[in-house]
Amino acid sequence: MLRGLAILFSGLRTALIGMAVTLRNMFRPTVTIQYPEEQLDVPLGYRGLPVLLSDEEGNLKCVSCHLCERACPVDCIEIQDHRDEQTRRKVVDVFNIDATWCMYCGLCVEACPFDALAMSDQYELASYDLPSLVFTKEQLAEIGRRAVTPTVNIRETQNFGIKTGGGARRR
Amino acid sequence: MYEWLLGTGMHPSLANVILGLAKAVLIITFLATSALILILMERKVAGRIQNRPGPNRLGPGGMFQTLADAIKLVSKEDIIPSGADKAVYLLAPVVIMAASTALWVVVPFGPSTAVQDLNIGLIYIAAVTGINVLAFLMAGWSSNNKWSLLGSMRSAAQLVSYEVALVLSLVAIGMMAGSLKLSDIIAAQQGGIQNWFIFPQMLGFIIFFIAGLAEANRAPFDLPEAESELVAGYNTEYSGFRWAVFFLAEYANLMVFSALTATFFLGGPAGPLLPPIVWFFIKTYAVIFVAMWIRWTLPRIRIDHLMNLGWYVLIPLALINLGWTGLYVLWRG
Repeated sequence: MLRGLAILFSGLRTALIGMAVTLRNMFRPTVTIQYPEEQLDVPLGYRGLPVLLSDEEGNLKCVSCHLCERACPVDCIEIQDHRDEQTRRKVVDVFNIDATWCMYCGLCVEACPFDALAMSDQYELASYDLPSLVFTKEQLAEIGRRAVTPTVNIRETQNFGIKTGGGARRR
Repeated sequence: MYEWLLGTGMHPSLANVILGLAKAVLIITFLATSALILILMERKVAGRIQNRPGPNRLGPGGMFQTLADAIKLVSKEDIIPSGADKAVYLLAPVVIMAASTALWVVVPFGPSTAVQDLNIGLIYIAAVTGINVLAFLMAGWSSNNKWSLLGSMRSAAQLVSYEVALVLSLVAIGMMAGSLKLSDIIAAQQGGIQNWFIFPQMLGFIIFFIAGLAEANRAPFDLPEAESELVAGYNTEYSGFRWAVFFLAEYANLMVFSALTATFFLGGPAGPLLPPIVWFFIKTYAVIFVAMWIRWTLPRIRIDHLMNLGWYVLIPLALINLGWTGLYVLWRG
């Protein structure tokens, strides 16, 4: 009987302690991010759309070695090139990444020995128009030019990624 | 109002009937709007306890969320299970709505303003809470579904057990006030906070509050409708508007037990400065907030623990409370 009363009181006490905790939590600020008005700031190296990087003069660093095309597990990169007659260098004509096939794994960036590719922070890629989801060389280069983090030594020091100012904007 | 109707040359009996029907419509409207407010309040309180805002997209502060939910529920397909006992299945929401509404007849919104201030107010309350049991049994049995049946059997057992403790604490209140009329109970608590019955009846308050939570099927006593254990218990086969009626009745039940707690223990619709009906709502919503606070803090009680609590703990405590009340009333003179 006394043990029953002791159990009763200890139960009541634990209930009241729990209620005090919840009441305290009522007055703490919420942790909710009101998406889409607010967006979480993604860390460097977040694997968004792979983009083409340019050097200081604005030329693409890509030399069309096709290593990324071969590294891609889902074959979403399409590259066409031709050899320029005067400078004897390869020029990239077509560099398409199909964002619907891309699995954002970063193996293409890992494979590139020329720091020409990086994973950007672009994840707002939704579209009503399916062909617009195949990103061309110009579109990828334009995003790459918006980088606000260093575009050299991407694999060693930049965690395979770049960040573009303004976060992941809607396309 | 009555005099105005008589002035039009109407027969007094007809005027009474019309007034009664008007009050009924008023109460049902009041219940529907309060359920709207209470559902939003529940979701906001739950959210804030869980460090999140609760509904805040539809309207300022999420005001229109419940309305949107109601519109969605009304537009759903009306499914009746093929093996269901059709008449009972269709009547169960009606019965529970009737039970929840009938309890509001004696609830005092003002010192002598109830829909009908019955002389046998306390007995009426004890009697009408029994209709809830019938409604749950009807819902579970007629659904032709083992989870519904289990849920409704558990619910019936729970309701019946906690009704004993509830009624015993009501008897103590009747003894304290010397009357069964709710307006007399309020009158006995006039004159300041020191006269509130919660102080001499602290044990009775705890018993009534806990038993009231169990009668309203609120957590931690919501095993009959536990989503994780019983799909939705007796609610499983009800979809769309019929489910909304059960939901409405649950919130009406919660509100009536909070209103009764405020009436019996916290002095009812009375207080300084503000009009009595405002105090009624303040006290009722304070008790409702405590009920919601408890719901979102405590885990669900297992069915055998629940029955133990009802029979082995609350009833002996209620009897002790009765003894104490008797002594107190004799000493008070």
